Amino acid sequence: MLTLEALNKSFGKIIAVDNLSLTISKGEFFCLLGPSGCGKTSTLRMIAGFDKPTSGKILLNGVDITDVPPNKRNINTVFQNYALFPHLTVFENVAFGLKIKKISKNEINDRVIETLKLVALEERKDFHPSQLSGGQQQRVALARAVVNKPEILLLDEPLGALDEKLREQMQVELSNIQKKLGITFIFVTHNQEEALTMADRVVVMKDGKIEQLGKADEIYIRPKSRFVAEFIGNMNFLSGKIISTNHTQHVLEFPDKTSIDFSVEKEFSIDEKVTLALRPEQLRLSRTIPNDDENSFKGLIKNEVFFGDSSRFYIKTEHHGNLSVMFQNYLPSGVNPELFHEGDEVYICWSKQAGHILQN
Amino acid sequence: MKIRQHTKILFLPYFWLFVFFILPLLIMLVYSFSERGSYGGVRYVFTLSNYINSFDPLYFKLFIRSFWFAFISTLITLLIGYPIAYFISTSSTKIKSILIFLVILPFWTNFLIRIFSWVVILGRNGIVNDFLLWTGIISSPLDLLYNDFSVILGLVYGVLPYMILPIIASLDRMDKTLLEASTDLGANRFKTFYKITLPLTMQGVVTGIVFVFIPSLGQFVVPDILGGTSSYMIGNTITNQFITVRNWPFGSAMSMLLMLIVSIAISYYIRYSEKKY
Repeated sequence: MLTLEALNKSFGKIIAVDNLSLTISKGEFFCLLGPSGCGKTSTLRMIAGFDKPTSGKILLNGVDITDVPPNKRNINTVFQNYALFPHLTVFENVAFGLKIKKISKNEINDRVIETLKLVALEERKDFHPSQLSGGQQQRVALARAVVNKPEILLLDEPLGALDEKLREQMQVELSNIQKKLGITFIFVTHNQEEALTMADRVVVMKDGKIEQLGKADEIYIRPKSRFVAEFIGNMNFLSGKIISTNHTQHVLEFPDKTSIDFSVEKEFSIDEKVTLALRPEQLRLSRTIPNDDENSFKGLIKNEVFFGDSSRFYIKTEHHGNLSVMFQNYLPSGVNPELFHEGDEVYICWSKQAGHILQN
Repeated sequence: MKIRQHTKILFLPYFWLFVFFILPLLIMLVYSFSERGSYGGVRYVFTLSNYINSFDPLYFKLFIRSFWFAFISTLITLLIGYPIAYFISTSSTKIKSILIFLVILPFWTNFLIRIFSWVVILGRNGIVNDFLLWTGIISSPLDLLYNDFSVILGLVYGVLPYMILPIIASLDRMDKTLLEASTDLGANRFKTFYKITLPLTMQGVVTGIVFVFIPSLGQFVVPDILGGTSSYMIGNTITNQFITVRNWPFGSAMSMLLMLIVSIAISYYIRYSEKKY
């Protein structure tokens, strides 16, 4: 178990990490997510021991390790650029930590080979890092760290340098390896997709502070703030004030005096300012006036972005700016017969039960 | 058309190399197999005697001593130069450029004058002896000049920048996260230096050794000014053959031999320490 207690880190006048407190349990796949400059890498470097916190404590299994140098911590790191030793072979790279610990030659050999098998690089053991592809180098970096059986493995943007296809593959591989070894993984990324696919829990950081901490799906479905909602996936925002409310049925009025009904089990006060957040996949396009249980805006298709499996339409509305709508190009029965084009006038519709409320 | 133009431009450096490097070398090669003329000139009669004479114990001893001096001064230069280079390389950018400037600064003064200044420093009435006498550590001045010590000191002093600069370059090229990776894997500073930094800066070290060893080996100014007769080097003898004795063929033969030995040693060394990855 790793505990960060009121951790602060400043570089001169710049505050990188601001009073951060966190507890990460053993065996967890934990992600620090945020835009660049949010303090996630500084946090990781303090856990590794490369940087000393300005104030605050780091506890590993209840023991204060704040002043323990990195070579005495049972924590290993997979670096963003892998930092493989160019003059050593794959085998020697992976054996590096074990040799330092003066483990017997036979055991080193067994453990290195076993770990190289785990990352499917056994037959490359005599290669130098420069002879390997990016994905292979990444796996060597992983093997070099996990072979030491650390308490915690830190990964700094581990998939950042890989291409899309390889990244998807490595996401699955990393999850599998983590489950197999049972080591606590803490990884840093600015890529929300990586965070959502791999992590058990995610902490979204902004300006050195925790913006939201929770399970991946929870953060996606119920973001606490507009920042989190925008950072993770895409989101449409409709802001207004409550003009009528009971337990489940509420009316939201927009600045242009139009209003919509929505239903959610929540208490509101009259005149409370709220924002209704809707994912693009919660909206649908229609040429005809929608059903009674739906809300709708009229709009004009400005752009279509084709992704293959789906397309995203950007629709200009009169009072609510541009909204984005996800459109499935395939239905179970085949290619979606409905066609929309740039310049079409359409209705954007969504269920009255849909959406997530952000209270200011 | 374009390729032809490039070839024409390449002609210039080739011409330069030929006139100032290959041609003099060929002249020396021809001299070394010729006889000495009666009045110091060169008689173009083929002979091997110049080479045979070079192995006379008198001269052979000088070869050995020169190699020994060059070896010792290279070793000392490396032991002093590496830490200095390491310190400079890890300094902040601003201080770093000042320090590199200071390393190069002595080049602004003539080498001869700088070596003469060591006479002032090391002489019986020099700064060092004056200071030691004043503090009372010694009661009579030490003989710091005109011996092996002063020659090696002069050699080290003269070539130190050539060791420092290539090592700084190789340290600067090294990815610093490798050092973090090493400590992350449990290595302390000493092990990190020994297992990561040193092997990865070996190219700079080899370059430094080559840059330092060759000029040290052929030195004649330093032993001439700071050395006694017992610390003469092969460079002094060769200079003598050309200037005083006027036996150009013998001087050429010894130069060729020296060059041959150095070339073999250096090419072997470079190949041995070539990048293997």
